[in-house]
Amino acid sequence: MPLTQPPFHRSAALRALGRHALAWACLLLAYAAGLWVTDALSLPLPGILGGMALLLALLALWPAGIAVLEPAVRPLLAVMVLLFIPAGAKLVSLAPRLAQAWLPILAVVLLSTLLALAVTAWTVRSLARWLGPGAGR
Amino acid sequence: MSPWLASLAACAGTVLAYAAARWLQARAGGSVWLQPLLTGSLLVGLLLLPLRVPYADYYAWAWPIHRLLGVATVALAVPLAGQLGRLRRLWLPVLAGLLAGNLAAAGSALMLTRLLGGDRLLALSLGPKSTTTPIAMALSQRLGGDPSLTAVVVVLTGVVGAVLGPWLLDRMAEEDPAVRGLALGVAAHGIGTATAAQASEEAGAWSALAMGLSGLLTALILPPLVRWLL
Repeated sequence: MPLTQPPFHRSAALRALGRHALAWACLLLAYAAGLWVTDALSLPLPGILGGMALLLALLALWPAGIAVLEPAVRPLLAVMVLLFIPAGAKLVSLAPRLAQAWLPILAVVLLSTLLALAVTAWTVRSLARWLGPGAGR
Repeated sequence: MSPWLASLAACAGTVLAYAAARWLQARAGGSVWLQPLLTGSLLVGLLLLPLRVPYADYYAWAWPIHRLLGVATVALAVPLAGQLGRLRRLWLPVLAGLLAGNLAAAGSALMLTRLLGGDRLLALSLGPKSTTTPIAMALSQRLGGDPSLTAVVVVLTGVVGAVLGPWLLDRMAEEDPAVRGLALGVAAHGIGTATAAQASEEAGAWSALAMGLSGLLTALILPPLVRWLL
């Protein structure tokens, strides 16, 4: 226990609240803008991917935005797994279908995942080597 | 029950199941097999049976969670933007590797499923399996697959990649943390990225980059691949 409590600054708490509110407002705005742009241009992408690409382009042009969004992004991404559970819960009603097709599913997952690992590692390694030392660092 | 109350109950139940799943994994010493997504989903799915709630009702009630998942997917752009500096220095080998890896992942999934006697629906559900769950589900839905089946397969892919990936990369005598991270991110999305980050921060950053860009790349290559291969 510290002997003296750190002084509580109401202005600091308000500023923190404001930072979080601003971060969430910007993030929700980017989400809505992404859905709208993808739909308006009828891009061949899911709307949320359009939003991700749009936000990435904005942050590439204006890197200071990363720090603005961080108070909303960090806690949200930390619990991202929770957000998949409603879709994953279909596992139980899918069980008969999985039981019926378990062999192709398991074989495809095993072979395709190992192939993707090997192809990625081999391509990056060979190209970095071919481009000469220094390119791979 | 009023729809608001039902939504509240569905969301609260989901959060509780997630907390229980996290607790279970921690109790097992952080076992990679006890992914909270798998155990949490199983818990919710099994809980619906004695409560006599049809899955479709629960899924509709949990709409606030789906909305938040969309927002979180857009938010993935933020850690990705933090890696743009590294990418600028190394863009050619990295982009070529990501393109080749995503072609291998999606193409082999589509072809192998058909070769092993799976139907078109199964192939479309397995095609996006190496990308991160929200993107994989959105792609599966758009192409006419079963998004829930995709969600299950994506988690299975992540666990397989996280367990066998480091073993395969050791076999290939691959020591560069950048290459190891990229390969794990392409093949095994977030679960692979978590494994890479356990090895080193550098591998984790490259893996996060690979995971984010793979979502975009697979979204672009999967529709033409489906047209050619299926």
